[in-house]
Amino acid sequence: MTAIDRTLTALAEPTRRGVVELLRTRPYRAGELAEAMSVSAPLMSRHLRTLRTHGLIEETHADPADMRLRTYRLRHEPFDELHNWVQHVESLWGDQLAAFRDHVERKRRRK
Amino acid sequence: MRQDERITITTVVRAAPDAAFRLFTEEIDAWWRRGKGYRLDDGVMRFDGGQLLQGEALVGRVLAWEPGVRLLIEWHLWNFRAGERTEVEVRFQAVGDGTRVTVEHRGWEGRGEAFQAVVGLWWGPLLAALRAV
Repeated sequence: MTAIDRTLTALAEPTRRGVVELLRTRPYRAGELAEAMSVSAPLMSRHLRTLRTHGLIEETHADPADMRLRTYRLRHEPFDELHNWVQHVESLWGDQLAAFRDHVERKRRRK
Repeated sequence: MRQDERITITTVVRAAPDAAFRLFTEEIDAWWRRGKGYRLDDGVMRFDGGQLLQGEALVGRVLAWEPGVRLLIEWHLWNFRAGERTEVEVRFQAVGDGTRVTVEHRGWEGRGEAFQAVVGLWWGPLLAALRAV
């Protein structure tokens, strides 16, 4: 599985996409996320684990001595990769259409 | 440029739509870029029997062939798994004495609904925000 596949797999679930959208604005605690998304704490915990193991989010600790203050924030690398991939497809077509335009020009001049 | 889950690229060429369509299809091997990233190998690119081929490899299957108007191809991206499919639509529209050629690459369902969601509705603002981090 490529890095992009991992990112897409993790995002292929509405609650997890919702979490990612929330984390765009600021880091959240697990409890806050469960409440905002209206799911149980254990279910949110599972979603957070999936997002974490797929590299989309990371844990931060406001106070290392207090695990209850465990918060999550987005990692931007996986999104950069996805973005780069789309940009890559775009630039491939941009190159091809530029090459096609040049070809038409050459044909026209030869007439 | 992105609209919904599509990737859209456009250019204007100085030829009438019929001529542009003919050059696009009949002479694809002459203008399609060469080298790694653009082609699998040195095989000739051509439309043949309802297929777009490069050497012996299938690049895509032609779903619609409307000279001077539109070309629709079921596109096989090189790094895609079997069964994953996308569509490339090439449209030819007269503008002045030339033709606007638009390539729309769409149908990323094969990469999961997430990709559609990402490339689609919240793609733009989300990534803009994330890249600003």
